[in-house]
Amino acid sequence: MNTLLLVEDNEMNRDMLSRRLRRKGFQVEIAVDGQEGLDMTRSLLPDLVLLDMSLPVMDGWSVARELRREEQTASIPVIALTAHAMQGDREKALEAGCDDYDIKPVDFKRLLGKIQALLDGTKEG
Amino acid sequence: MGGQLKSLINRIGLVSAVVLGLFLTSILVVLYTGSVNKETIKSLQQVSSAQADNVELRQGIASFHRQLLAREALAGSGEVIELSDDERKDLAEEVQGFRDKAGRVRETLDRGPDGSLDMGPVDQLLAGWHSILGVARADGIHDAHPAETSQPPMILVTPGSAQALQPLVDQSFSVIDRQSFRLQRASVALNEDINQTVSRTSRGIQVIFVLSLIIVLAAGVPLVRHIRRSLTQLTGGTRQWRDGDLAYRIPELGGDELGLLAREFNGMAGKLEKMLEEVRAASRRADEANQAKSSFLANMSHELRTPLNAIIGYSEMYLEEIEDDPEAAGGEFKDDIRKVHSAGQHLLSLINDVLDISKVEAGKMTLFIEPVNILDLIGETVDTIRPMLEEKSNTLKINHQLESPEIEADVTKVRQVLLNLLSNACKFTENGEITVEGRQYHSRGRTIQSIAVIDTGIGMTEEQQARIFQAFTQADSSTTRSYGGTGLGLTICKGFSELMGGDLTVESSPGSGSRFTFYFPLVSGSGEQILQLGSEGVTEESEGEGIRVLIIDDDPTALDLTRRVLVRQGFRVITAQSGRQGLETARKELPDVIILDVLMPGMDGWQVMAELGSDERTQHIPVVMQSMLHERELGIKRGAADYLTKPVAKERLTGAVRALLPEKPAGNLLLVDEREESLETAESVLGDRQAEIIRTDDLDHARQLVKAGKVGLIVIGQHSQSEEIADFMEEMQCSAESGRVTILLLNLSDAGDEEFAARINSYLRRQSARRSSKAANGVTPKSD
Repeated sequence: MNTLLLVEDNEMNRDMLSRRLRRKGFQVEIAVDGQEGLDMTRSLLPDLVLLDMSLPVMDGWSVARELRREEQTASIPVIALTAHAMQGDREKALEAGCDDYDIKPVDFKRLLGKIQALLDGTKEG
Repeated sequence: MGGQLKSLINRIGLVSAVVLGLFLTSILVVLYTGSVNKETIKSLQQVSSAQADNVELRQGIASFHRQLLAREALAGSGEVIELSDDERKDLAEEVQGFRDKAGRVRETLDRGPDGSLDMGPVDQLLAGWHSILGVARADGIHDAHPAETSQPPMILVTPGSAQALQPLVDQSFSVIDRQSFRLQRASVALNEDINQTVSRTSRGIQVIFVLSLIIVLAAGVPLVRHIRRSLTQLTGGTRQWRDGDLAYRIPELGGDELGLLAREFNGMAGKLEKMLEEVRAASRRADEANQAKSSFLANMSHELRTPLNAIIGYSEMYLEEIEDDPEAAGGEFKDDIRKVHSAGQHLLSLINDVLDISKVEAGKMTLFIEPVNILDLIGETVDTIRPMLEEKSNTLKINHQLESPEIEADVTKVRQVLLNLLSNACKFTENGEITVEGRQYHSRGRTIQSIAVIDTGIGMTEEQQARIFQAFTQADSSTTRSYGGTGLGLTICKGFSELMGGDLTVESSPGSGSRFTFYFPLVSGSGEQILQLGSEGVTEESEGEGIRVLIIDDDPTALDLTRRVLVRQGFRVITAQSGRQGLETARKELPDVIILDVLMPGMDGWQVMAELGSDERTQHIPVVMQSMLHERELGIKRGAADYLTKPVAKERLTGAVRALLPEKPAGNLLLVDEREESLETAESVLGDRQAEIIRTDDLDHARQLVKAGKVGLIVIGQHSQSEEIADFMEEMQCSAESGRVTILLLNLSDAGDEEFAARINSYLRRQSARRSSKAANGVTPKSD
């Protein structure tokens, strides 16, 4: 069973997404701010991180950069989630080291596809 | 009002009238002189002929007397001389001739100034001769023609009668001689008259000429000068206005027509200025309002998304649960929940569209150009739309004529346009055919990519076609009810295609389907072409010779923010919206400082940095990098003069830029002096202060240095071209007034080293005082 870490500060989004992902058979861990997300990634070493960009304490871009910097977390795939859908957010997220990105509200099927692709990729790699 | 003489036309008219009057006077004078001279010449002719008569009279009398004496002498010798009738007649006629001549001479003399003489002796002589010839007529005026009387042949019986007339002959001669003298005098007098008249005339004409000349010069020259000056002022004024300085006013030109024109022009400029100001204010207000609207919409839609997220997510989740387990609780609400879900989806698409349109309208939308295979993109989009296609039993065909499917474009926007056109086609076509046509063609040196979506659906009337690109409009407002949609799709598509430098067109007729053609030029180069709706890529503002800062940033908002901060600080700002453009601008403009964003599509900040460093022209220009990323060490290592993390505080930004500027005050000293020894003096005075001394006697070079901001202090010493120096100083005075340079004028040979030193030292003290007060106000000076 794959472990996903969901870093999301909005309670509703967190609840919804985690329930749906669990129903799809993932083990989902929750972090509510950037710092917690970073710490949990370091300790749990999940198979994939779903990372909101606008987070309290430490923003998603900084978390992604930190993760990329550290050897043990550098290879963990990260999908950025952003509510802004602003031009350049995707580039900024990718620049910060995220592997993919999706816009909120999430298209769940599309997100599942992206998660699956990244998990398959790491397995192959 | 200025009175009659103030009018230009009146003045010109008056001068012309006076000159014309003088001209007419001179003509009259000439005519008068001509007529006077004609009279005099006639008199002169008469006098001349009288002179001739007088001479003939004298000669005639002498010869006639001699003839008579000769005849008498013959008679004295006893010979009888008989005169034939003919001879007598001839002689009598001769005497008559004398009488006529004498008469004419007398007449002429009567008219002359002296009057005639008493001709008594001549008359008596002629009467005597008549009596000798037997024509005794004492008065001697009328000669009875001898031929008419039939007198016997005459014999001169009394010898000595001719001799007796000798005293009369002598008296006659004396009279005649005096007459001759008088005639001579009359002739001389007449000649003098003519000369006098001629000289008077020419003098008169000369006077008139000189008078005209004086009038023309006195009135005309100031007039011409005034007109020329006025016209120069007028053209100067209009030129100022043309160049945009509507605050300029033509100076007062006087009360004439040109002055009036200048006043009217000034009035017009004032009106224009006021109107322009109003227009600017209105446009500013409109911009602000539009800006407010856009940011409101953007914020609004963001705020709306968050709760929507929950609505869509939870309903979707619930539906999934019901599908997985049809027996789950609340399964009977499945259809209701589906409705909630689809309403949420619709609301989301509306919000997305509103966000897009507000960005397009605010000019905030930027392009992100990347390589893409257009056929793959079309295929992908068609796959997305396939369920809709099948729902209405439509078939789809793809035609393409492409030189190369590998193009560069803003993939997201092309996909969005295509998706919109295809879903529209599906919406309005049933049991029909939809065709996607991809083409590439060349026009005006550019390659154009066109994608047409053709359907066989319900089509549109011309009236409907005219409205479909307007926001919140569908071909028919009832369409929304039966076909759904936000009515914003085509507006957004049109906006996107225009943003890409292309267009979106429609051809349609009711009942026979529609053809939407979306085309855009293909960008050559490697993806750094960033366009922004409604503004040009490179802009420059705040004219003048300030410190020039080039800002390179792809994000227009960030760019504008940085620009505003620096412009307010008095910097001259140039902006570029992509790495490639920034590099070109840097090479062309050679700014004093470059502010470089790191994260840019295409050529990023690191690449720009490397390119700047490898170019001789640009490698000395300090670069301040700014980025969201904390990579200060890396930035400094790669050659950045400073590295700022976004968002950058205003003070931090201006401080960083100022810190990089050449240390002007104590900095470079420009010595404009021809003598070698001045340099030594200057060097010894400055000692080991960190100042570079540039000595030049080439004033153009000096100007360049000052313009480039490389000089803080100009010392002008001995220089042979004093006039050029004066011009130079006048020019530099402007720079000095704006505080950029200080000018010290001193004649080193007179002043000597001590005064030179004293004056430079006092200048340096003032500068350092000013700098420390600046530092206290929070502006960081360079810390060496």
